Amino acid sequence: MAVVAVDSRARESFTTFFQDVEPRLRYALIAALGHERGREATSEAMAYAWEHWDRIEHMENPAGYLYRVGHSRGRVRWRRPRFNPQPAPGFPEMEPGLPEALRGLSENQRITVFLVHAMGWTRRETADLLGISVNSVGSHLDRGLVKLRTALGVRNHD
Amino acid sequence: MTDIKVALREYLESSQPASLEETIQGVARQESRPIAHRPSPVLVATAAAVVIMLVIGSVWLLAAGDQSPVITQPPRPSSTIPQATTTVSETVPEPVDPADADWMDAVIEVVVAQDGLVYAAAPIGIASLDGTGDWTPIGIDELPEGSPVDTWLPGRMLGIIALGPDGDLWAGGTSWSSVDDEDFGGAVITTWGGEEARALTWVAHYDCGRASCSWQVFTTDLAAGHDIGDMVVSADGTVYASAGENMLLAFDGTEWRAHRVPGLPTAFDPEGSVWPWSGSLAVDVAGVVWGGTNGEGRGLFSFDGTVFTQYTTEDGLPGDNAFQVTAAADGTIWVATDILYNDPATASREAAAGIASFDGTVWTTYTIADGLLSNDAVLTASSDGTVWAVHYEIPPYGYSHFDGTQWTPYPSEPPVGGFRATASPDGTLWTSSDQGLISFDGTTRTIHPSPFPRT
Repeated sequence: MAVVAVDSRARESFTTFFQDVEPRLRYALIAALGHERGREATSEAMAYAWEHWDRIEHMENPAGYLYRVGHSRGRVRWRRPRFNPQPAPGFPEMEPGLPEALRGLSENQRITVFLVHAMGWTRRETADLLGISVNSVGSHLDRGLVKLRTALGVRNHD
Repeated sequence: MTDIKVALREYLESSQPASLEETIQGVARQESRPIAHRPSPVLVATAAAVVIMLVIGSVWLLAAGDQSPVITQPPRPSSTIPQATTTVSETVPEPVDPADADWMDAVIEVVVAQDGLVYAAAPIGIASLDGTGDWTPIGIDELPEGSPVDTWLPGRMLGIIALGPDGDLWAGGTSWSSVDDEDFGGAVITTWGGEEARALTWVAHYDCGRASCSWQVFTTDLAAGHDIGDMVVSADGTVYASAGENMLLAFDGTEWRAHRVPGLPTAFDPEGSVWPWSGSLAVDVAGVVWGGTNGEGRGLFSFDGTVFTQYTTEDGLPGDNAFQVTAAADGTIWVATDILYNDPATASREAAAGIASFDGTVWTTYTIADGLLSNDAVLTASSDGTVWAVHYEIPPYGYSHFDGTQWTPYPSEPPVGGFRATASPDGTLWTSSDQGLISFDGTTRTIHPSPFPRT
């Protein structure tokens, strides 16, 4: 029954990984691609992770790797995938100007604003996921917040 | 009062998490269904290379022949927008649901030679379509292919084709292999997962003699594994390719050079994304290379061999998301602008900033007010001096044609194609899509189903 033992161990370690990484991955991919495609990309990336778990569990930065996997699945290389600001189905009400404001941010600006400013991630956590430097996270965040506040007519630092 | 933080948090937290059980069971189901299993890209690429001549031939014979379906439109009224009461031939295959389309077999590229032969390319192959509707596969075994350990990286990703000044075919792509594959060559890169792999960027010339054709392959590791966004060949034979966050590669037949486009993010540090800075290059009659930019509002660049010049709305462009560019035979540069997201529920035909032409001095903007069916378009300049615009992402779908004076819109049911667009010498428009190739001669829209086996 060695096979069962291996499967059980793999499933256990993947379960722990899934519970830790899936929300972060989903938030980052939704910030990048929008709800529909972001969630779909998360599902595909996690399926890929399980399919290749024997290799991925030993990676230094599996979450960052899966972010790239999810982000680029189904790519048509000459067009960068675009952000669809529509909220999840059933979302009660969205600030009217928010979709247009989010649309005006670059992808990295949007992701850092979502993850660092709204979700409270550290800049290091965000940098690791995106594969960029901590300084770059700060730069994207600052510029993104300025753009967002300007677009929404918010003067206070909320 | 807007509370940005709360609004953003609610936006993210309203999403439904992925299911652990579905993830595990979904993979298990795939593994237990060998026929329906969708291989990973590397498996597709390697399998295609092994069996391509054995299998594809028969598939193409079935898919092509004289069975190319025709979708007809009634003749358009002379002074009004034609209302497309499109009829669909019974021979038209069931459209592929975009959700089921696999990017490895989607027809990404299309070019048309002077003799009217149409070349189509997908990441897994190249084929030509002749005037009788017959597809002929182009062998690609000579193009570099590796065996990467990381199955996310395909052994070979093709998909860029272009025509040289003599009408000769060029292809470009990126290939990956395991770090231990020293014979493969290429640059050793570290993937985002922390593993090492080998990456090789290449262009290849399809050299045809009297009896046979073969590929001459020219490789470089300057691009370090970043995808090629687009490729053009200038009149002097220099091949230009956009790669990575800011690189314009140039190959003159002997030597590769990497020119860094100023003002873009630094390439090849972790800032880089997987998306090339430009997905659309053009070379004008003076040999100047033009590059649209891939999102982020970076405008348009030109390169005269020495100096890059950036054009933005401050210079007269209608929008800074100038993603696609084409050069007309008279030297005019045509540019299409883009919106930043594609959501038919909120985007509209007015959403993009429109099309612009540049005569070397003045930018002229065209929008729906000038007769365009939509401001969101992909362009191609025809050798007869006219210009086609393809509207494929946001309703209303269809085409617009510029005769040098005015635009005429041709609404159409989808698919109208639009990954790439080009025009044949007789003025017929050809576009690539995940449905295959689509042609439109001003009256009849014809779908030529993808010759590449669906993975």
